[in-house]
Amino acid sequence: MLEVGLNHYLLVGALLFSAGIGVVISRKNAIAVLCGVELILNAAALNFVAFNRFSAPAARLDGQVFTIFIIILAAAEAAIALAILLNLFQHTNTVDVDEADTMKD
Amino acid sequence: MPETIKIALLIVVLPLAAWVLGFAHAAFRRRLPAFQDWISTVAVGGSLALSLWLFFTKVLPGGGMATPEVWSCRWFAIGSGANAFVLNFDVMVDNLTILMNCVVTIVAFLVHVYSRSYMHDEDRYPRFFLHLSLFTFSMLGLLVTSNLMMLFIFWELVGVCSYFLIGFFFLKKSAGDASKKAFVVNRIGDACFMAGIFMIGGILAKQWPGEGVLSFQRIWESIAMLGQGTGPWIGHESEVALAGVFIFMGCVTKSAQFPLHVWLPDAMEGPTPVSALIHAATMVAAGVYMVARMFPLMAGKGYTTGEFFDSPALWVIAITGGITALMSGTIALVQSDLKKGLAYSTCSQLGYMVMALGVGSMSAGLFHLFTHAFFKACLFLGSGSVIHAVHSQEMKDMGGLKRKMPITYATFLVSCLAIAGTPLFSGFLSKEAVLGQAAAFGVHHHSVLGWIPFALAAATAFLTAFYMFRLLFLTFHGEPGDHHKFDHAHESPAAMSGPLVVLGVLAVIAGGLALPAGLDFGTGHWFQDRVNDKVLVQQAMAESPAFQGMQPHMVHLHEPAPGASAAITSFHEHAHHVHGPVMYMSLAAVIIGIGGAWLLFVRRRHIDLVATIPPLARYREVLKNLYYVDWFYCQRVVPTGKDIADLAKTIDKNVVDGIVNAVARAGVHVAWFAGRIDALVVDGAVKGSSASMMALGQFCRSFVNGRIQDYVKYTVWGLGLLLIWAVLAH
Repeated sequence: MLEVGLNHYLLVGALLFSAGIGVVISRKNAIAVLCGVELILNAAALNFVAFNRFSAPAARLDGQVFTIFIIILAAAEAAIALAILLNLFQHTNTVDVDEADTMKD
Repeated sequence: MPETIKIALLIVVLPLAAWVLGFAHAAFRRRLPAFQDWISTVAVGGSLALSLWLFFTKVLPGGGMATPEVWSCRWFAIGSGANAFVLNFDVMVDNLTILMNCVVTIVAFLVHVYSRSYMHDEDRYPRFFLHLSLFTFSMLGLLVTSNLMMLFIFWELVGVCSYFLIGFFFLKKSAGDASKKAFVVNRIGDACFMAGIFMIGGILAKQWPGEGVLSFQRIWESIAMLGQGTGPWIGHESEVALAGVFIFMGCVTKSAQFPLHVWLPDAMEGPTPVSALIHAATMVAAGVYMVARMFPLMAGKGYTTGEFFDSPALWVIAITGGITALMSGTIALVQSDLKKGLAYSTCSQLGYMVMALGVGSMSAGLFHLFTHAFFKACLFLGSGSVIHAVHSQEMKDMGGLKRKMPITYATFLVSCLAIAGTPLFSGFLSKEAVLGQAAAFGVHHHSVLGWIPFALAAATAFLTAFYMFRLLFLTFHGEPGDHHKFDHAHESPAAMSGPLVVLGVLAVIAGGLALPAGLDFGTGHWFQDRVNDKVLVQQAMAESPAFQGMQPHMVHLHEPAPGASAAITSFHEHAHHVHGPVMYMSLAAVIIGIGGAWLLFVRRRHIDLVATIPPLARYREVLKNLYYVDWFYCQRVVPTGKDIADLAKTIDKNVVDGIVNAVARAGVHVAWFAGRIDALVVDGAVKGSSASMMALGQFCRSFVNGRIQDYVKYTVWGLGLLLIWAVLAH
């Protein structure tokens, strides 16, 4: 019987992270990009939880606390990012990130 | 600086100041001051007063200045060390300088006074005085310097003044041509003169490297050393004569000697006072003065011993002078223009002076120069007075003027008597001295060749009396040639007749300076005691080792110094013996000349005797054509010169220009090539580096495209690379 260990969690986390990065890089829709960011954050959160479960002393819950922060952070970030997106849409009439390249100026 | 030198320099500088004043006025006010005549006259008057003061304090009392006052400073040096060419500002004042200063300032002052009346109605009247001042300055400068190079500088200055003044009426074509002719002919002699100076400078520089070797003293010393068998001329013995002849060529043009005398008669295109000052009394005599100063050089090796009667340079000088005297004298016989007649007479008298130097007598030549200056200036100013009265230079328009112009006539007569050599007039003594020396030269040489100078001079003596009285009779005696002009003729104003009278008096008494001290022709002569090569050269150089132990010798009527060489002693003896016969001969010349002129031009005025004798008539044609010398120059020399110039022009155009153009074209090609290299390589490198930097910038810039996703991409790649590095490193 396969014992589920830290490495499995980390592998899942890495896959999640990679998927998130892939979404962030490749998708042109800004909302999809935000979804990718959520995947990355979740990959990080999963890692925190996994490390806390396998590496920290039993009484400590630092990883879980960090994860909750991350979730809160993600919510806040999503709210701000969506607000930015709305503004962006108002300006450019699109949510295509390729069109929003004014940062180079 | 000794006081005498200061005064001498002041004499020189005063006319220069007048010139500078006028010039400065012209520079600032754009025109010459109307009172330029006053400035110039006062300045030359100052010079005259100072010259006379020097004369009365230095030359007249005692035996004159025993040794010259010398002052010198370095003017400039070209190069350095032993190879340097050094030009010193040498000033020397001796008896000759002061006497010549007096002659120049007296004549110049009188000419200034005369010109204020004579030139008054002419255009450019102030400019005339400006030129006169510059000339007076240059002439006086020429006399006080004792450096051959500086003498040459002043020599050129008087030349250019002569050019200005001959061409003063430059609106008249003939005047412009005459001034150019004078200038060009003088270039020939000046080129030779310069060559002589360079030769002397080059040879003397070996003895005294890095010193001013062109001073008279150095040249005299080098000749004395040659006599002792040492010095710079050793190994260059033949070049002494060559240098002497080259230097003499300067005199040939300046003093109008055959064959380069052609400019002087044409110079009569200038205003008459200029003819009197420059072309009779002073500038043309500068050549004689210069040769006298260079007498030791002309005498050459034998100078020390007195055995210089065979010196080749002196032979050339004597023969040239003799030929000039006779030739010009004969041409003067047929001149119909009063001034031209006087001009040829000047040539002839200059020939006398040059010949006197050539036969070895410095003092006789200079004495004739001295007396000639006064009576010839008087004759020219007299002719100016006549021209002023009848407005013509042609003698056919004159005649009978003695009734109308008594003062002019009297002074002209006195001067004619003087130049003819009549006793009691100055010309008698000076001409007699010249003839005596020439005769002694003939006796000394005991050969036909040796008698040639005397023969030429004696023949000229007859001619002189004849042609001068021909001029006098045709101008003042007989019937008027042009009644209309005669009726309007009048005696000139006092400003013109005054100078005539002064010069007429001088023409008589100047000879007094040569009167023997004790009314005995065997003893001392005032002039010859002061102006001779013993005083001017040997005493002046007494401190030089080269002159130590040298027996002083004098070539004039004096007794030779005790211990003088055999040649000198015998020469003096000859001079003593020929003295009497020569005096009778010159008396005969005067009587025959004047009598002949009287017979032909007063008694039988309208009978052309010459035309009845065919050979004489043919000879007259030759004379009227001036012995074809001018014709020869115009028909032969000038076309040849033009051909040579054309040839040179062709060569210049085809060869020299070709080379220059080829070099230029090659330069253009090289420059094109260099331009391409520049554009391609150098600019390429510069532009390439900047372009590559631009490209790099563009490349870097391309990463910052403003797309968030790309930034993330880079982050991820970076992360990946770090991961790879971390994995590989462990």
